[in-house]
Amino acid sequence: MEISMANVISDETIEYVGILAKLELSDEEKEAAKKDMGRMLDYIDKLGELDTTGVEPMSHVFPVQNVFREDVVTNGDESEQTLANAPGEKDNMFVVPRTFD
Amino acid sequence: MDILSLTAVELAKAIREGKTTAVEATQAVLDEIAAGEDTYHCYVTVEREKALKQAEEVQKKIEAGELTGPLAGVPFAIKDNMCTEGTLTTCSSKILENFIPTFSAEAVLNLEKAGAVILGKTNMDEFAMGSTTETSYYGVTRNPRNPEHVPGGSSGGSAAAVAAQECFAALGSDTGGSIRQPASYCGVVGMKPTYGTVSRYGLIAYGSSLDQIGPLTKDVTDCATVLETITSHDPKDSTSMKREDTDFTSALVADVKGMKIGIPRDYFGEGLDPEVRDAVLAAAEVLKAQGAEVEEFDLSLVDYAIPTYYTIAAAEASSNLERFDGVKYGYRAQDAEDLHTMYKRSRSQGFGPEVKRRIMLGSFVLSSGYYDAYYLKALRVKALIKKAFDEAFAKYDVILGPVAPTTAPKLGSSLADPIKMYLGDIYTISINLAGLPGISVPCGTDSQGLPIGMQLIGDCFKEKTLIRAAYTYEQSVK
Repeated sequence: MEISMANVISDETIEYVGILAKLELSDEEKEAAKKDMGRMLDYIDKLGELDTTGVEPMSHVFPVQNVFREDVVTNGDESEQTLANAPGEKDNMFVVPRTFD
Repeated sequence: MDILSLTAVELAKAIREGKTTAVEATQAVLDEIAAGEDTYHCYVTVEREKALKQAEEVQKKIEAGELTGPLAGVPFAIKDNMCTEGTLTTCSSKILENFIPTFSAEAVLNLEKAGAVILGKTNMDEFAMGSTTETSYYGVTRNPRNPEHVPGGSSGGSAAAVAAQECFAALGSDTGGSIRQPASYCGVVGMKPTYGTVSRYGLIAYGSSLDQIGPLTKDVTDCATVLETITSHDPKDSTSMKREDTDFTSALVADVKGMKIGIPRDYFGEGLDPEVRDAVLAAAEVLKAQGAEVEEFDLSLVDYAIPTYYTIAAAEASSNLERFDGVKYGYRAQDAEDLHTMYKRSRSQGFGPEVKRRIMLGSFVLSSGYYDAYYLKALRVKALIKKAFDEAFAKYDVILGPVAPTTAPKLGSSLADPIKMYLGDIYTISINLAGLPGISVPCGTDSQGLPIGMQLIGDCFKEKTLIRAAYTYEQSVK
């Protein structure tokens, strides 16, 4: 299949997106991602054919407002069950690797 | 009596009448699972002991007159992206290989309140990203109508479990066709309700503005009954709608006289398999013979739905999946010395290729400098797509078309070319963008014996019209 690749994704872009996405990619994955993303963006560029001047971006299909509720605990203390899922746990807290030197 | 061949509603009736019990039905379906799973692999987790215990409790309540509803005692399967208290919930991903939720999704609780028995969790595309159930970390699911073919996706395990009689009904989720397309491929009924109808609380989010939970069932009566049961206004889901007209089973009426049905010409163009086209048009003729007014029209913007969808869905996915970081639950990479390396390695080792692809695309379209050009542009086109549907529904009660361009592809033939795979979603995807309800109803098979589905699309909140049309069709071809 002919690929136009109007969107040539640079190594820098892939590095940057990797940082945003918090992903550590192998060289092989980076190459694949460059190709995939270029093709997807070429395809998405089709939207440029449509004139959307004056069209409001629609995030929600219904005209709904923010829904608020009181900030009260209704489900009791589940800390024990919650921490049972934690990869690391100590003294009722989550344990993670060091965060600074 | 062959218990397994009963529909969910028929089974509940047989239990109420004392012809069988919830325990007997659960045992029968667990035996079928034990026999079928080596071939089909519909489930990630089967909760044998729990299901039998739940069936015993339900049976007691039925006998005591405490549970009298139309689904009491019926064994269900749940897609593995809905939280189930105390039962492994993986989203078919390695990153949730050990996640045991401390609560259940509202839709699951609604089923349990109605006396349903939960058998286990069905296989799916990882985080619901895919159209074949082949991106699951836990292996592929095979189509019970022909095991050489995929069951569709992402709710492939749920559709296959219904088709293989490894449950009486199932819940799935639909972000771009993930209930309707596998229902079509497996020859069962599947419905995506209007956005906001079923609470998303406890559904592990993919594209939050598009996700809806819905039923996969053996027939239209079961579909309406399950939908009526799982629908609720839930303050825990801020997008949950307060609806009045949720007595969906009242629409199980075989009558479409005067119903206006529009057939979008744009849904019958290039890329559509001729056998699928003929079967769907023949189904339209059946409804016409029953008194519906059927005509063709131009929907427009159909070709723009897929790029719009993949931009919005990827953007929302990249944000929703930020929570999987190896801190509070799920998989954690063991070799990291500092926090950020731990985040990155846990995610890189825990997510599969399709999930990474969409997270990266989503991060890109939301990034500074590209946000307007890609993300906001897609939201603007979404508004145009919604408007095109509004105009269509000013003229028609129902839009009728195919669910997918082809019948189920062979296993292993889809993942190599993502864009080609995405194109398979062309008829289902815009319904999610516009928040509309859609139902997939079996309407025949192709020359290989693979099922074909007809899609009926309704205006927002018009599930009853869809149910009436689907039920009329089903009764007419019985």
